Amino acid sequence: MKAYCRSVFLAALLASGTALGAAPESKDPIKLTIHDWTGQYITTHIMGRVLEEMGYNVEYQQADYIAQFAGLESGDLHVAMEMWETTGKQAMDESLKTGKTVDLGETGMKAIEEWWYPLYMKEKCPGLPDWKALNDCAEAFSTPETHPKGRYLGGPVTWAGFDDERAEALGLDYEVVHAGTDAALFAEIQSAYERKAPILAWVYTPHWAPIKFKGEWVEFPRYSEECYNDPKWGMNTEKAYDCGKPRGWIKKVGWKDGEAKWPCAYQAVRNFTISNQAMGEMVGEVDLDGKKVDDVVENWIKNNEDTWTKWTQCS
Amino acid sequence: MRTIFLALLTAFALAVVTSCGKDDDAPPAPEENADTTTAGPTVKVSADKTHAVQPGDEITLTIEVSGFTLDPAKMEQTNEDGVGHYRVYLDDASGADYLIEGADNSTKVTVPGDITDGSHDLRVVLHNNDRTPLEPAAEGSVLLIVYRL
Repeated sequence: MKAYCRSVFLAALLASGTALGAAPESKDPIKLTIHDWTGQYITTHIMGRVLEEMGYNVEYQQADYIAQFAGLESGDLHVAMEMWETTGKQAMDESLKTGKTVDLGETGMKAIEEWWYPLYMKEKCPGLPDWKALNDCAEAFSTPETHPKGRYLGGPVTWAGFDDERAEALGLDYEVVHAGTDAALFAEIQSAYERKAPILAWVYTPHWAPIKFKGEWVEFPRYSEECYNDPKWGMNTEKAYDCGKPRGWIKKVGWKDGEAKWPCAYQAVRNFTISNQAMGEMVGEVDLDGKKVDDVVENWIKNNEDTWTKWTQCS
Repeated sequence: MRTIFLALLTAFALAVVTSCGKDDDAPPAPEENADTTTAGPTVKVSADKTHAVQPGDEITLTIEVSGFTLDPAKMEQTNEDGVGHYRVYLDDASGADYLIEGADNSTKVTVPGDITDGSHDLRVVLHNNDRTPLEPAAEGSVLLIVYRL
């Protein structure tokens, strides 16, 4: 019945000419990229469902987070719903310079992804969260494989993030080990947390981990563009990356020519926004409560019609 | 036959109208965590913001208490069974190290400027009129995810 009501509502909008007037301009599928974390899956499927409601055909395409820019520039892929300032800013800037991709604006979510430890490790390393305490506690964070060096479990190498460079530039006595996948990363964190074993790892949010695990992020020198681009900046005057990761926006980015092909769809993508609060709750429903992503997305679509129908306004 | 058809059509139309905007439109429940001791007063706390919280943010807590009466007029008076107020603590703080004290069902709390980036609990702990905590303790909490941008 709700689908019927929605159809009636959308038909009324169409008839009034205030929205969806020209959509869909092409029945060719709009290819949205999918990565390997729950929040991105939710974001992308919400957008996909809205585009479908507008009459577009949508395809979801698994793609590597950074390598996807090649596909976005060639037009093999069309829209990526989550490019994080924390890890994707440089790749996005480089891609935008080609003129083949277009910045489709912020999602409204604000991100952090940084070195994280469970609160019980603070007893063994009371100087935390100050990064300068890390070397004093390297042994406490070590494993048999890395001893006496500490071990930092980073994200998959495809996430970039410059943690190897960061450890070197800041002179940290840590080995950076990369998890193979998002699932492997958080499985290891969960296992360590349950055993109260040492763990220092990449944790980001919006995500369920900071909800489930009590912990803190390490406070590195604050990021600046100079830190990443100018080795002379910061405490290590010979190396870049002697600071934390950027924090901030999560943006949408797309194939530039797609804007001419599907102008109303691109306008809807530009209009898409969602809060950290809403996303955090949906991620929790999926990863902590065991609900299916599709059900959570459908529920959001059903309960937020006033929100997403505004995205479909097309001038 | 025409009358029956019209009656059926009217019934269908009414069903359509009454089904639009029913309970399935209801917004999701706010973030809420309840944590209480057994067989005593219970406390449920919800907050208007729990994700991407910034130091200095003002958070509105909604506090629901059962088996206990919150009465601001009785603060600092003689203890009375089942009557008192609450204190809001951050994480493991206790005693006089509270953020705010009150007895209203809604209160605003300012996130401390020196809070670390990470997960933190805002705990609402019931107290007697003489400002001693209930024995056994009765409290509820909400989890805040804090990080500076």
